[in-house]
Amino acid sequence: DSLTSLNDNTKDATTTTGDMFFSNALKDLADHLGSTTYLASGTASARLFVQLITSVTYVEGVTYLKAFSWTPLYRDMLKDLDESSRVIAAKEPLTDAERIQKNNQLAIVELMKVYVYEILVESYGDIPYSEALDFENVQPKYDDDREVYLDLINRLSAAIANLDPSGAGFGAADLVYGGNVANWVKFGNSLKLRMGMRIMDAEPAVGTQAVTTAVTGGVFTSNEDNALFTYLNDINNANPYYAFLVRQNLRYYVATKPLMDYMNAFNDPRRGAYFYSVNGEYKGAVSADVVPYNDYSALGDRFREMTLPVIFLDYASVEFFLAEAAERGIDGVTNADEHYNKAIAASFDYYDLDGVDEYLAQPNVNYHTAEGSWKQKIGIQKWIALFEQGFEAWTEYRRLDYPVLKAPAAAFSDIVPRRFTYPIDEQSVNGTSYAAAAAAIGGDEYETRLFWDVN
Amino acid sequence: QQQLITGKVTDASGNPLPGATVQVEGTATAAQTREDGTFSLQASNGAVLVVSSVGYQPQRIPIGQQTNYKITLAETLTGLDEVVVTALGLSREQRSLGYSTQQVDGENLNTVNTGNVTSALSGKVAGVQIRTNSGLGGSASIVIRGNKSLTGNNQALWVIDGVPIDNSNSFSSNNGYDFGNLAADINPDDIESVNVLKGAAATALYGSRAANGAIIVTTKKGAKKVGVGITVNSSTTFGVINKNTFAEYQQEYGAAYGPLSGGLQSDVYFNERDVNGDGIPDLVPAYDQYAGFGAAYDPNLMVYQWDSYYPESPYYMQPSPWVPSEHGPLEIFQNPLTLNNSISFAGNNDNATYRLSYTNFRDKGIVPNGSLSRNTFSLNSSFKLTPKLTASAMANYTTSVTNGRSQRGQGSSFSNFIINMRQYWQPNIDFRKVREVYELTGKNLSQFPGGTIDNPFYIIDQNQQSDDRNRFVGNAALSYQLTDWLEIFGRIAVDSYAYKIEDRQNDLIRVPARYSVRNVSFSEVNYDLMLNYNKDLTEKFNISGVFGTNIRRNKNQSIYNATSGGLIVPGLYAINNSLGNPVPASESLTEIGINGYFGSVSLGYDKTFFLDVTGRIDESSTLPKGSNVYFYPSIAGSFVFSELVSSDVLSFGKLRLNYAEVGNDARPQSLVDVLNKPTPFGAVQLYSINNTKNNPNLKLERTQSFEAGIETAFYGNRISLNVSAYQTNTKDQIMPVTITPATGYSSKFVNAGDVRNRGLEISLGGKPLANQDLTWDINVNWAMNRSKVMSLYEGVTNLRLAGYSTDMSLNAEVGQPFGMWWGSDFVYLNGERVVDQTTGKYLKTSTANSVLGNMNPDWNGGVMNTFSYKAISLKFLVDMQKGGDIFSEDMAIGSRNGLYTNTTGLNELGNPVRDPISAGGGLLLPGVAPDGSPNTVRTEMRDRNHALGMPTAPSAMFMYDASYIKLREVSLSYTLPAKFVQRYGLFGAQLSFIGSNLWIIHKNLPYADPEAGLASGTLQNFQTGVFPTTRNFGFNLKLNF
Repeated sequence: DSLTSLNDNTKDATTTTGDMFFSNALKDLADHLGSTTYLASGTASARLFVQLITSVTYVEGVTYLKAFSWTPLYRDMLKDLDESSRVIAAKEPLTDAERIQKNNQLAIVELMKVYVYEILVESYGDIPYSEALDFENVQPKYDDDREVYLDLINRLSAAIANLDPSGAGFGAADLVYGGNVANWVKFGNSLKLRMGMRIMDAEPAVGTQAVTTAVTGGVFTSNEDNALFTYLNDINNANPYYAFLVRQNLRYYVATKPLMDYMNAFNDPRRGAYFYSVNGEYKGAVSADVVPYNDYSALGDRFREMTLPVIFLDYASVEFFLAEAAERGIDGVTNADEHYNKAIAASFDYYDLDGVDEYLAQPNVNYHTAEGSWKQKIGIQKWIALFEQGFEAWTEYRRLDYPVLKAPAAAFSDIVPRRFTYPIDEQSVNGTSYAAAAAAIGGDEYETRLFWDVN
Repeated sequence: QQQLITGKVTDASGNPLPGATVQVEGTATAAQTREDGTFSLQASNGAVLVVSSVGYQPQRIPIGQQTNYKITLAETLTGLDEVVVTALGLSREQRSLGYSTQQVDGENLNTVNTGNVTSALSGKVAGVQIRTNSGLGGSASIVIRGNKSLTGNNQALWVIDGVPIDNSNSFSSNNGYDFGNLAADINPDDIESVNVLKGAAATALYGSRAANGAIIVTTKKGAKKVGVGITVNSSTTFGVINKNTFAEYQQEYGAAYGPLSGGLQSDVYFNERDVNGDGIPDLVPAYDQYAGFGAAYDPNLMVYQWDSYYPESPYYMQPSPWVPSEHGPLEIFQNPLTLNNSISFAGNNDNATYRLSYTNFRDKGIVPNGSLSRNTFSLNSSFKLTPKLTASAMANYTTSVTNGRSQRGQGSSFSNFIINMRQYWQPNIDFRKVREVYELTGKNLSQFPGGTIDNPFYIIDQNQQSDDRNRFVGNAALSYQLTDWLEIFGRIAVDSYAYKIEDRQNDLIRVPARYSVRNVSFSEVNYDLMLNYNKDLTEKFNISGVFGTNIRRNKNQSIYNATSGGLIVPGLYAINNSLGNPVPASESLTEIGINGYFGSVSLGYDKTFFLDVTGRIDESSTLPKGSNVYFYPSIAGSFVFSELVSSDVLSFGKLRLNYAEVGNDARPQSLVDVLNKPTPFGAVQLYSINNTKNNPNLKLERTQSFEAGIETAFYGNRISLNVSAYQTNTKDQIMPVTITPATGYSSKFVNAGDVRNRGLEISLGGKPLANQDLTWDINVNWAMNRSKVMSLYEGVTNLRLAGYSTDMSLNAEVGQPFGMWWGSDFVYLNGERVVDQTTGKYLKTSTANSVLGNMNPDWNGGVMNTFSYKAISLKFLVDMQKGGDIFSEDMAIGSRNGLYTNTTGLNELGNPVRDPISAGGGLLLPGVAPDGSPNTVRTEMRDRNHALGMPTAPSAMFMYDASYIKLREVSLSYTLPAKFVQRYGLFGAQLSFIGSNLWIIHKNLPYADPEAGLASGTLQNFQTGVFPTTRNFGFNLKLNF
């Protein structure tokens, strides 16, 4: 009657089309991967952990002072992706073209769900999965990370199979590929290549199968294919670094000593893209040292552009994976050195730098003469190339064990963390499930190795 | 025909009462009694004399043939026969009430006008916990008998002359400003009395909204007229900062986070740079390091400090000696000044009463450029239209304008200079130079060149926050006496305001110039129709009560706009001057409707036995149809046992007992989910699922309350003692519980939980001295409340009420009191703190769920003394709290950054703790090694990762006891002799010297007032960036014409 209708909300929407939730999840993901933090709070902290940069002002993150949260991943991305697919699935297509578009949209949303879950499972190990995203069940159990991972690969394969490049996708709401479905096929396969390689030591059969079908299906072949989220020249939609470095002028982050030692030894021209020099020199600080900001190499010009893209997945990492696949003798992939060179060339190309041939010709870079095992060679070069993808750099560091990094003396862990510890709130809001998960993975500690991190 | 009337006024013991007012009702003719209590005036036969005196019940004496009268006034000391205003404005004899109420008359409330009537109740009512925030227009919170709601509002309901008014403080999180609680719009000068209804039985007729108790304000009418009815009141109050409530830096070491290079053992604290170009390197401190772990002061060292950095500075390129700052952080504040001026006109005749008043209140806070100005116009009148029909109206219009509130708390830290001064600073910086450099240049020249902290004087001068509110509170009522025992009464009551909040911020180091504006319009209308009856069925048996209906409609609309990315034209604060595209406006509109039907029956027998039964049915708009109609009852009984015994000792005695249930509906719009709309990404529109899951199946939440009490008076009311005990349970609470984000939401609305509050309240009154010249009154209030969370939500045993930037959280855990502090703790072995034998620092629990304290006090109390000697009266109020645990982030971070003396001094060897251990320095923490042996390992105190700061130390280190004892109010009043003032055409004059918060007699929290904190609300006892408090002195002049 008239009384209860007073309670109606007449200013906010209760429903809208599925594409808006999808766009929002992409933006949230980009903000999350590209965010800057000096805390040990989650995905963005990985670049501090893996010592690509360090904070000379606040050392919470570089000393691993636990403050983790998975709220953005579950609540902001997965929930919106879930709503996106729910709304899209509920809409009846009227034409064939609409039917194809609907299938494509559902498959693309599925790819992004897999992508976000991959971050979760690679961050923590066991995670709420089969019982997640259900508000009726406020104490969801944590599922075994191996099972989650294998299921994600299956979901990925199914989603790729459902993509029809001849049809439409999300159009302008697709903030990564502008509606091009063929690009999403390549993205799906490249992601599958990555996930297959990730579990190669733990699940070689599934891993090999994933890698070979991904390569057959068609992975990225140039930087044109990169999955990038490009920000706008607009203060409200700028890359998170802009707010940090330009708008707030926060002087926290500089290069680390290990990164600069390698890049200086390699005369790496990417130094100038990544950093400013100090009196003509590139200098890195020891992680966790509180030292004057101006004495060390701060983040370079590109990080002060509003439009700096966040990289979801790039061609260079695909080539690095192929180099590794060749080393591992996976069917259909050969010539590790060529893939290694292509990977580095792709990285140079991304930064619009010349001199890749000279770089590759250096004995300490050349695949045939550089020091160490293939893991070491690929690991170190990949680490440098993944500078803007801190989480991926940390994950590959954990898997390949190169470069060799040490935890700072002042850190709250003796080693560079091998996982994130669960968000502290879980102990109070989902205590029983938390305790079971902590026991199942072998302790909610930084030292606990995740299932794929077996060597 | 006039005749001379004479008489004598005495008290119950026969002592003469000098200075009592004798007035011919409805006329200007009046007299004051002389020293011997006698008076004389002209009055006509048939007139009525009104005899009144402070502390006594007024009496009306009809003039007959007699010309000489002996008048005895009864004291109002205990108020036991007083008529008090209860729920819905019903007047009841205090003796008949089966529940606890406590009245404070306007004079005692208004001894010192602090501008916020909430604060004025502090210490004066048992069972009421008041917390006043420092700072200009700061909010005050009032909680009666403990927090009942886990996540909702726990503030008492304010009702002025039957008009329920909005007391929200919902804007407090806006940029960290405290916008005050809106009951501050009540003008204390207009208050006749305040009656506090504490339990659910007392408030049951209000229905859902008074579950937290109610404060019933009765404003002055025209009935009590003195002289010709004009009263002028003027008070001026000055404040002086209480230095014990603000940061005091250590005086030994200057700027730096620690050695600049070379590790902990190094003594490199200055950069060496050739500043003056003489080819010799000069010493330059680390400008942008906000800490005091630099070099020890040495007047022989000449260094180039921040002020030598800027060409605009008068100290450009001038070195200065390395010494502690001469002018510390208090330099930033000014002495506040409060002015309150009012004039009122009151009058009455046989058919009408009126009172018209105007009050201007001005406050110039402790931060320069701040001002608060409030004008209140008030009209109160009633007319007897016919002998049976009375019309009355009250209209109150308030305009308040505040400029320059300061940021505090956890709001934006960009311009929050208090946080910086308390937590991130360099103790060597001289504040007077900081001011000088700003005033000379008008520029934001930071005292940390190259750093991110702005010049505080620039912020104060250039960031112009303002808010203004125009508020109307009024009612119009008609009552018609149907028969001598039945009256019909109708009333429309309105509270409405338009509120505009603007924030103007010039360019800061970290954020560009910015302007935002929020417009809020609020209205609440209540329509009441009541049948009041009161009939003596037999000589001894009386029945009275009310049947009626209440219809309430609330509407709250708000729209917020902000610029983005800077301003095009500097200094033009307008949305259309936004450099970037402004983010779309955010809008909200909420409406609430309640239809209520109520009734009560009160039976009285022989003024001895009383029984009250009430019932109310509410239909609410905020609950789902079908479960939005609910009933709640109350029953209260009292027994005046003193009527049955005859005793010289016992003058009054009453037992009372009650039970009540009060329902509470949901917040508006918490049934249906709506979407979030983020800022569009270019042309692409974004939508997102809300973080909180609403619940379409909510039902009523219920508070059940039991209360028992005894009220007694002895020796002719010279001593009175009232005791109440109560228990309330608030069940099926409608609350958003925090759930794991793995569900896709952060919280979810449920009906769950049960919070129990039990408590005891004692008020004791006495008149130890009462002779002709000297009287001494003492009133003591004491109360304790114990809360316990009985249950929460399925499987959830803890509800996180709030999390803070450190690892601290406030929690409601099943089996525990409401509001427990959790955080990281020390590691203990046999009760001793364990010290790490490598670093010498305390070990710290790796989890953040150790219980560190309880935010609730053990008890609160107040003692009010009033001494009167002839025309002089001295009053003072001591207010105290025992217990309660408070967390100070100011101390946690300020200690980390070495700003305070806890990081300096000598160790057990007599060496400075700041020296390297290798040189005999370092600090030996009391505690044990993990094997239980006494700790022998000293810890380095050379940089900000030392053992006594956050986050190295456990949070437990920064929990403090919030106890305090305060001399809250003092006043010394002198009533000028009537003969003297009459020469100047005055009817009476009183001069008072007043003081408030003069002395914090005891506290355990360093550098701050334990009462200061975040804005009003349930969650308290967290301090970050708190302002100092002031001691206030002033005088008040009251003139009656």
